[in-house]
Amino acid sequence: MKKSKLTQNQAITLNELNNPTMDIKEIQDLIRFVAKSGVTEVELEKEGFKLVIKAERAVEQQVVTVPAVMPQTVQVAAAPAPVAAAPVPAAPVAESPKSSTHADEARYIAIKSPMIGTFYRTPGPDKDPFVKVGDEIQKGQVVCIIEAMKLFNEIESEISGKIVKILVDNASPVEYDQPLFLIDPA
Amino acid sequence: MHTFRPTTRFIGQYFRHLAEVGSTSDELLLEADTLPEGAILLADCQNAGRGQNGRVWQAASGQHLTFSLLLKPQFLPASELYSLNMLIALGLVDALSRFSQENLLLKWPNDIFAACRKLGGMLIETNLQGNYVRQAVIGIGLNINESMREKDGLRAISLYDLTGTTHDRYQLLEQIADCLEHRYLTYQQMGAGNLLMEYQRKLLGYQENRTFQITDGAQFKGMIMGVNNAGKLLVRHHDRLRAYAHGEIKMLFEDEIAID
Repeated sequence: MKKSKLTQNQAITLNELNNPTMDIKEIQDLIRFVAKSGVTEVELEKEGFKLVIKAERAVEQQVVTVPAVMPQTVQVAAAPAPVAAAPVPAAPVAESPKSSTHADEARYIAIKSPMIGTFYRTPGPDKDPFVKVGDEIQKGQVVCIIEAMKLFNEIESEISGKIVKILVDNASPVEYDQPLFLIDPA
Repeated sequence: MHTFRPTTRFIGQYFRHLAEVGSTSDELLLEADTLPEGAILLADCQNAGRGQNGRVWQAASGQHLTFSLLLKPQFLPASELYSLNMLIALGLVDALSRFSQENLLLKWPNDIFAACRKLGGMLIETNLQGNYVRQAVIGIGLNINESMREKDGLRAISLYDLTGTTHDRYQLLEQIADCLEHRYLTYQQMGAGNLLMEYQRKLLGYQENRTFQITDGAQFKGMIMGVNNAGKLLVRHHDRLRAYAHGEIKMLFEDEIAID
């Protein structure tokens, strides 16, 4: 978890921090700044004035509970910064119901689309799907095809585990980094 | 007979010529882990070759070039894979232009056209793990030594039709290997550069008024403005620019246009 305190020096660079009696707009601006910066807590203290801003959704919590912002499986530890940077203020919360804080779901990892294209669950029109909910899959196993420009890309799972949820309908368009499957890692 | 001796570094250096196979791409995929990058599998006859929309490619035995090429473009992020489609298509045009003066064009997304007829096509299949391209198998079919122009119901043409002569397929394949490798190494070393611009310049119907048909059957007049960074076709209709994925739109030829 990132935690930083703005020192007096850093604060001077921000107009809104110069005035000890901040108005609502300045505080809003500061909250926005904190959200963008990716830090989870800021304490600002001047004479007769103290302001503490905490981003409740800590980096780790986001990673495990919000499928939409989950980094690609193994990158979890490697790249926390971009994760924290983008989605703090209005993350796509719609995709993460309150119940997702449940301990079981906290373990789930998303397989995401590496490219813009069309998502196919089957290898061909009249074929069986590559995987179904409940299937145990192995690392390297093909889980779907993403097609773009008639380039057919077989997407292989980077982890072994059980398919918990399929997040996209067959033959629908997908965006870069869009979660496709939720996996309960083995 | 000419033996196959490409002057390349790796494309075609592993080479196998089969009389008959289900599909050269399927065969190559089976052995992809053990074969070197650049491996080419040529077949005189494919009885389950993949053509457009899953249609089986009907190739008269030994008359055409139907082969697959194995690449391992691990330097290429998955999100830029459409570049592979473009550089292969342009490489094929480079090579065929060494044999024919005809203006060769690319029909989005992956066909080669001459004189408004199909000279060949390609289909790329890759395996991705995360953002990492493990391998790409490129299936290519080119009409070479059999006249295709007279075949009813096919909007096809062959190199024979264009040049009035037959061609040694090995010689042709050597030139193709050379041009594909040049395009591939240039991309690897220099990045995309002008690739998209070059592709668009060769695009059939680029910046011309054409008739299009969309999935629900509706036809409209529009203009191809290019291809976006997801490989989608950009078509302008009145003042609106829209990006279409493969399968969402079809550019029609004269005889396919509904009479108003």
